Amino acid sequence: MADSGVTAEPDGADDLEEATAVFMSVRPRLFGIAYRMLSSATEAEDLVQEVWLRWQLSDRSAVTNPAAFLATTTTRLAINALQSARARRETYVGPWLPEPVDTSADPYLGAERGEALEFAALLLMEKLTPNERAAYVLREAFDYPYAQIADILQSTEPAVRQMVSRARQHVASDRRKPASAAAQRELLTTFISAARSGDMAALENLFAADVTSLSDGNGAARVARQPVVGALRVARFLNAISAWFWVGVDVRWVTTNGRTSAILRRDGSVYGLVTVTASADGIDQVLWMVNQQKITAFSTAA
Amino acid sequence: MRSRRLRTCHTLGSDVELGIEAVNGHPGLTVRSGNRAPAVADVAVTGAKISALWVVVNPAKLRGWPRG
Repeated sequence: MADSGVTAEPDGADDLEEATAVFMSVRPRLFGIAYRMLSSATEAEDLVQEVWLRWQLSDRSAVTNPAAFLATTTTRLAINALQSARARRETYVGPWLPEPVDTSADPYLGAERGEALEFAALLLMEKLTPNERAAYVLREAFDYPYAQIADILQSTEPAVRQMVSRARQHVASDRRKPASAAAQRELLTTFISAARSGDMAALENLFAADVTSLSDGNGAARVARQPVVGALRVARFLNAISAWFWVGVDVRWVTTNGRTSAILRRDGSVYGLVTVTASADGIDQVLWMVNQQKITAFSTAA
Repeated sequence: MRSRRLRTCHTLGSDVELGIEAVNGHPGLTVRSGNRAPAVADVAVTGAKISALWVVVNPAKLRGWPRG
């Protein structure tokens, strides 16, 4: 192609067209985030408009992932907006309620992503800090990975996990639902192989933020006497014992109390039983039965 | 008081109707009058019973509810 040497407006129109197309493709999601943060369709619309202005003015050539950039901008603006909205609502006369949205008119908001949208959830989310609320909304309604939420909130992954977990406890008044038997079995299997290899990252991924490891050994040697609490601590604990605990151990599966447990055998004799309890958050309890008196039943069964 | 308000709407006459529409992702109640919605309610259901009814009558919050 001939080069005239003059490029007055390098792809100016095309660029704006593309910017518009990108924005429009994620707009329903941006509105979904903003609405769940602010409980107001009007304020959410204004906020999305503000994001659009910023998107137009930003150096888009430096943005590698426009969808992530736009979600980040929306979330951060929403956190600020929520802070000032709350201050305003303090002077609202009478009980304050969210602004209802007609979800038949907005299929993306209602049918496809209905989580954390009903009044009960929006009102409970009012009790969260703006950051907690953002973490909860991104995770619960939009399935963002924890690492990406951490980027958006300029936080760390463990901190975000904790925020989401706290938020869930606040919002899910009907407690955590236990994982299905099949899901629990799969978690236990993955857990055993990760614990064996002492793979910290894999272990942390399997755990709910407030996971607890309990060992019943009735004072036996080399058995933890205190519960170990927290995803990182439990992962560290398992990593630390992985060097000796699993040497020469073979694992058999057994059903106890309707859930799968792992029987640990060394040199042909049973010396422990491990199981996990889990919810959608991941493993919330690791239970170690290494009290010889309590596992004799399995010694004969295995 | 809120139920009285709804009842009032109901007895207002022929131009007012109570309907069930999609409110915040699940069925809710609307009071329609002409092309306006003077009241929209989110209904929380626990088991087979209504556990909460949040009725919004603030016109500033109902601008998104013109008749389609």
